[in-house]
Amino acid sequence: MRNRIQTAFDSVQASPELKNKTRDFLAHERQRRSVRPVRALVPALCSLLLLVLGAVGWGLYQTPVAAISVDINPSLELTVNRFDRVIGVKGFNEDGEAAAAQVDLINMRYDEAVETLLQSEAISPYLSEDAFVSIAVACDEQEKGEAMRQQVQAGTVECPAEVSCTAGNSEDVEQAHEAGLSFGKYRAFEELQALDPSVTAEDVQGMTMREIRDRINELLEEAGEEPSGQGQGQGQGSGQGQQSQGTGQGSGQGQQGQGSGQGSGQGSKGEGNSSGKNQGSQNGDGNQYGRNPG
Amino acid sequence: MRSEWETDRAIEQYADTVRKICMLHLKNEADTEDIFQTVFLKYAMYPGSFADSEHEKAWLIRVTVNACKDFLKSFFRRNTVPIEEIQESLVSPLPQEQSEVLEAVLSLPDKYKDVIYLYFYEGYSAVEIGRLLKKNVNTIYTLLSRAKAILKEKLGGEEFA
Repeated sequence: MRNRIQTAFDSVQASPELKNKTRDFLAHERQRRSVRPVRALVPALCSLLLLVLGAVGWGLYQTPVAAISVDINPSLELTVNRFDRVIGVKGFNEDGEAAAAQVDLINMRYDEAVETLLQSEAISPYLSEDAFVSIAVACDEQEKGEAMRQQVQAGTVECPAEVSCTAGNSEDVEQAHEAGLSFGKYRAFEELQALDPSVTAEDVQGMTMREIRDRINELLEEAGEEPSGQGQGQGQGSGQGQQSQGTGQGSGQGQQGQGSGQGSGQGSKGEGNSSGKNQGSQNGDGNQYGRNPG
Repeated sequence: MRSEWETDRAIEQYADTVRKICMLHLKNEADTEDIFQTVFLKYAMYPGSFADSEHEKAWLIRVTVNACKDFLKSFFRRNTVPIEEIQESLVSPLPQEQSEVLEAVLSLPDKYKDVIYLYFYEGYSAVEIGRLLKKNVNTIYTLLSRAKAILKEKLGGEEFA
């Protein structure tokens, strides 16, 4: 049986044609597959690229480049990314935290966010006419910071309270955070401390911006009666219309400090505030750039 | 992918074996061509290595058997092949005796065909066939004895004992 079956099967062979067709097919497949790795990589590379771009984009979006500190009594800080969008809101005191929780500002443009915040139910009750609102913009790119400051300020024209808009940089913010204050408030605290070294950050934490501002003004007035020589060279408050000693220039000339008085020394920033309501802003600017020892 | 040289050698060496298994299951040349492409492409793409040519041959037999089964599963086809078609596909016409034997083998139920071919033609033992077809050795013995009985009945002759 074995022999008969073997002989029968022996005659069944693959024809040369069948072999050739198979060879051709394999050659074709080989060619197709040799091109394939490169082509197959295209979609993979595309998705990788998208992923990387997405990650970079997300990273950029989530990287803060500026901070806006809003202080009345509620004390809040908005972090802003390079696309001018708010990516974080943090309260620095109880009222601030409450407001931060109540108003959703994330992903808003910063100027809209500040407007929305000031008009919100959480904040508006604090905005009586005698309230003092400090809005401080911190950005390491000076030009952008200044542009943001102006933008924010323009949005606060209708605010019933007195608004001060100032600009600073990230160092200010860091120092402020170390002291547990938003940097707008920290700046006011620095101002106050310069006049009254006994004041501590904790004291300031519990004070409204109006209280701090009034205290500063009081101290300035007191100081105004004395000759210059405080050595602090603050030169503040001109915008408030107080007597400024012009100590910033170290001239000891008891000028009527209209803010412009300091300009000669520190005017490089050119913070000219136009809106009468916002006079206070010059304080801040004068402060920041005009700290000349007397 | 294996080199062209390697696949050419495999085709030269194993095409007849593959062709015989195809004949057991498929009804026409076109289907056989499909199986050839499937089997040798699998061979070309197989990343492993073979210990020796026996190992390689066994691998190809198993792949061919499976490819044929898959092929028949995927299409609703007649499993038996008219001997005329085989005759047509062959290089030289089959003598009467051989044609009868082939016809008898092809008329066996499917499960017997591979076993008969592997046992009588390729000379594998029942144990080896069991390993190749992934079946129990006892099953192979049973299949063999039943197939032999059928063939004996069909073809006559004492040698089918």
